[in-house]
Parts: sequence; structure tokens; C-alpha cells
Amino acid sequence: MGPAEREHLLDLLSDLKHDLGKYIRLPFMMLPPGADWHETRTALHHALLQTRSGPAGHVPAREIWAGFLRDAEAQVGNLAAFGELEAAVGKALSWERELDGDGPLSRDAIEKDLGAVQDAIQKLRLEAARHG
Amino acid sequence: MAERRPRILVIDDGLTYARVVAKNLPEYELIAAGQPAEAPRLEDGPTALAFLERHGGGVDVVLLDMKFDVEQDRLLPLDEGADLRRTRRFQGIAILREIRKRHAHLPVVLLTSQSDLSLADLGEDLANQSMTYFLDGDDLDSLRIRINAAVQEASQPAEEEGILWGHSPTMRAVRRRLSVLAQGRMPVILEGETGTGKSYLAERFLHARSNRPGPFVTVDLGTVPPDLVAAHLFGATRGAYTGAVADRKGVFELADQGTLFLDEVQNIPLDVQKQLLLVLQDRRVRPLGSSREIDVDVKVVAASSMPLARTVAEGRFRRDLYMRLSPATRVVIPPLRERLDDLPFLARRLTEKAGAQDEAVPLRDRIASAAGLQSGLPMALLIDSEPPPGTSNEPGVVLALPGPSWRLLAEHSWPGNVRELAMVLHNLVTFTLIEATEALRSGLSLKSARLQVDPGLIASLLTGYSGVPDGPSDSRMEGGADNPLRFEVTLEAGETLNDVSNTAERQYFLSLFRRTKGDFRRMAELLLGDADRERAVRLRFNQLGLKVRELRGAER
Repeated sequence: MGPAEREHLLDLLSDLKHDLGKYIRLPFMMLPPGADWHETRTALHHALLQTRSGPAGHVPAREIWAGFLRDAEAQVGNLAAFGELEAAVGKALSWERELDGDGPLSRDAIEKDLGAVQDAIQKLRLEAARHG
Repeated sequence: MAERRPRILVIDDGLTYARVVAKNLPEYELIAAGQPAEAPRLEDGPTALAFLERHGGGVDVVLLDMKFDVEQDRLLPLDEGADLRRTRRFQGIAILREIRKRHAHLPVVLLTSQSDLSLADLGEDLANQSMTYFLDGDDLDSLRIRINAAVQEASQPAEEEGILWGHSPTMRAVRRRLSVLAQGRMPVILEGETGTGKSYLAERFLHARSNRPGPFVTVDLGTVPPDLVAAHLFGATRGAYTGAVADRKGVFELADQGTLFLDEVQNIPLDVQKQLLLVLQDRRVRPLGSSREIDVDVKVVAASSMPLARTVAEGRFRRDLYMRLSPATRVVIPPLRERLDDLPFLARRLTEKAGAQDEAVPLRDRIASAAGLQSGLPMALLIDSEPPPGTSNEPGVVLALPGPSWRLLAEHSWPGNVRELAMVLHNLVTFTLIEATEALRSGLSLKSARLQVDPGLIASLLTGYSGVPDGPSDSRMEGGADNPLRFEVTLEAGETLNDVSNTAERQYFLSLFRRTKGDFRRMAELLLGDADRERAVRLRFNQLGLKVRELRGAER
């Protein structure tokens, strides 16, 4: 990877860290300690389906991730930490299946899975920075 | 009636923070600006600035996002050459810059962590910008704490328990830091030129807010002879040194459970600094000549009129002691010339105080009565015909400073800081009142209680101060004096820095002695801004080995 390519990738990863890593977990970080499961489900809805807002309205986490892959997969595909990020995002997005349910949700489990995305992005950034 | 909740404006392209404020922070009112109705926020800079232009006064705090993924025509320009990606990523900075142009004191919480931003290349120093806060944690408590700090700082009173904070952002930041440092036992370093109010803040704010049950004890290390500093600090038993005729308690023991204010801490001799370090570490003191150690629980406030880090660099202050005192707790009190926006406020309050002093009250009331006003009303200062903010009429006797007179004060460099300002106004009030009562006595009548101040009087009062060069007790933190004295110091091998400093100080005292013709009250006024501290000057004079009788004899 050349220096310009690497800079571009680091830019993309910075955006991903902000748009996906921060905002997929933020609704949970901002939940009060005693939130009930209705509030927890609402937070999950916001985290996964209204992750960011853009000119065209809400942007779900899945779409942010797809956009990143479209722009960067060729460059990150051979980095070791990419597999870990893919797995973390996959696990976080798998909570979508709970959105239509009406039973209690494990806040701790969701927080752990959503928080792992940020950590994995950071790891990939460090690896990309070293590959310059 | 219920107290009004502080009002928050959210500027964010996303909804998360607006939702959080609306739902989870009921102690605040989310301003209904923008969409959606249940979590309104303004989505871009131009809209937000237009809103603030119309309703800025109704906003108590702004929550401002950093990255704005909005259309290009809704972005404010960032820097020349910044591409779209960068402009979007740092759009919060562009918005903040515009807010600061129009609303300098509006609290803004940036919804990003400082560590997530590389601001150096933007030339920003937001960490030191007053009323600007970073959100360093992304949880609800961090958000709540930051908003609370911003609201508190903005609603801080200009005057509190006799402390004239004023309105300047720097002093607000000082107060914010001191209110945190007042808690607990950690030592505090206060740096600031003479007259900035270090000892006043230490007693009236740090000690008063510490909730410590013990006393506030102060020691001026500039006036204690070097060979007595250890005994003064730690105590001594009878016979521990020549002249120790009885056991004496040290200031650490006297300040137990309270606060110890070490003024001019940079003057502690190096050998005593080591002992002080151990006391701070172990919280035990051993009086000189004693084998017994005493536990002490003391909050230390160390004050210096010069940057302590500089004295460390010069080898005059131990690095380990400096680190123990903790540079992280260092607070710099700004000189008056760096907060001149506060000058009208300070001048008005100090005039009122001067007019309320025992010797001024009878004169003031006599003038009020002659002008047909009720006595007992406070004095006011009228600056360039502008009444004090918030008042519609002149309350009692008024000291009127026309524009040119005010400019003399506003353009003065105030080397003696607020203490000098207080002295000048005290003298101004006294002289003007005396002059007016003399006029009454000689049969003149007064049509109003508005006393015009003679610009010549102001000029002469200011000259009295500005003619005093910087010196050991009147040092500037940076820069030189306008009219420096030149000292000759002969260095010999084996002389300590303390010897050199004493030699220079001796020459300085001598020159002042000659200039004031041996008037110690005048010397105290010039050196310390307070003629009543004559005794401290005499003591230092003696410590430096200067003999008044010999000097007077030599001059005859």
C-alpha cells in the first residue's frame, strides 16, 4: 500500500470509527441505569436502524458498513484485523432480529456486542497505520 | 414558583444527543428549534447561527457535534483548501469559530472527545478556550457532568463572598479550577504577580470551601530569615538553635486539620526544601531538636509570584518538591492588564467599597446631605457618563470620571494589579471627598452629589505607582520593568543563589529607602500596595542586614 492509499484508508477508517463505531453504541451508553426493556429495545432500534442521519434521512448501521466495504474492502481485505472487524460487525448486526420481538432483552449482551465494533475498528486502524 | 431549567440548544445532524437531552436529562429544557418535535435540534451551522442571532440570549448551553454529514451548501467553510471530507469532519470547529465571534461567553460542549481530534493542524487551542468543553466520555454521566460544569460556569456570580471574580473568561476558568481543587487534601500551587489576590483566594475560597475544620495559617516566606525557615515551618524545641528560648510550634502543627498558605514559597532555602518534601510525603513533622514526630493533616497552598517551573529550571527549587506539590494543581491568577474587560466592574465595586470605609463614610454622608440626598447610600462610579449596568439612576454620592480620566485608568499597565487599583481608587475617593467637604466648609453649596474627578489627580496617583520598578516583592511574571534598576552583583565561587538574590534585594531596598527618604509606610505601599504592611518591610529590611540608624546617619 502506497502512502496516499494508506492515508485514504485511514480517512475511511476514521469515518467508520465515528459513524459506525461511535454511533452504534451511543444510544446504549446514554441509557439511564434503570432503563426497562422497552427503552432498551428503542435504543437498539436507534443504534441499528437510525445510526446516522444524512441528507437523505436516517442511515442504518448495515448501510454504513456496506458503504465502507464498497470503498475499502480491496485495501483492508488482506489485513489481519479485518476478519475480527467483520465478525464484530456481523455479531452486532445480528441483533436486528430482536427488533421485532416484544420480550426482555439483555442490555449487557447488546452493549458488549455493539461496543466490540469500536474496538475492532481501532485495531484495524492501528494495523493500517503500521502498514505504511 | 419553580426555578427555570437551564436551556440547551443542540446543533447536530444526528438525533442521538437531542433524544438523550429530551428523555434522560429532565433537569434541562431542550430548546424547541428544528425537527423532529420530540427531539428537536438544528442540523447545520447556518441554521444554528441564524437561530442564535435571533434567540441567543435564551440559550444557556450549546451541545455541538463535530462531524456534519449534510449537503455541501449547508456547510460553513473551514480553512482554505479544506476538501469536502475534511470540512464535514471538522464542521463543528467552523461553527464554533462563528459562535465565538458573536457570543464569546456562551458555553459550548463539543460532542467529541479531545483525543479523537487532531486539532493541531487546525491551529486550534480549544482546551484552553473558556466556555468550551469536550465530552471526554460517551456515557450519560459524562454528558451530565459536562453540561452541569458549563451551566455553572456561565451562571457564576461576578462577586462572591467578597471575591471580585468579574466577568472575564480567564477568571471564570480560575474559579472553576479552584472550586475543584478546594476539595480534598491535595496541595495547590497558586502563581500570579503581586496584588493579584493569591492569599485572599487561598483563604476566602480554597480554605472556605475545603470544609476543613482546622484553621487557615499563613506564612510569608519572603520575610522569614533563611536560617529560621525550618523552625518556623516545623517547630523547634528549646535550645534547638541560638535564641530558641522555649519550645515553639511550627506552622504545620498550627495548621493541623486546616490549610497552610506558604506565600512566596520559592524563597524556601534548598536544604529546607528537602525537609518540606518529606513532610508532604509522610504527613509527619519533627520539630528541630526533637526526636518526636507529630502527625499532621494539612492542605498546603503554595503561592509564588514567579513561575515555580522557572525556579526549578534555575536550580533554585527542587524538582521533586515541585512534582510533589503537583504542577497539575497549578493555577495562574491573571494580572489585571490581561483582564481589562473587568476594569469597569472592578472600579465600580472598589469605589463603592472605598466609599464605605470608616474614614470615608462621614465625608460621603455630609456631601449627600448637602445635596439633599439621604445619607447611608453607597457611592457609585460614573464612567464616561455611563451609569452602572442595571441601574437607572444615581444612588448616592457619585464619583464621575469623564472619558479622558477613565482612559488614564484603562491605559495604565497596573503592575500592582487589583491591589494597586484598590489603592488608587481608595485615594481617589478620599481625596475627592475631602476636597468636596472642604468646599462645603468654605461656604459653597452643592447642586448635586456628582463629584467630578480631577484628571490631574488620577495622573498623579498613577505616576506614584508606575514609577516603582519591578523588584523582589513586586515582580512581573514576564517581561521587564518600564524603568528598571540596574544592580551590580559580584559573584564569588562558593556563593549560593540565595546570597546573590539577597545582594540584589539589599540594593533594591536601599534605593527605595533613599527614594522615600526612609518612609517605611511609603515603602510598604510601593512594595506591597499596602502602607499598613510597614512592619513586614521593616522586618525584611533588618533581615537583609540594613541598619536604619546607620543609613540615616550616613545621609545627614
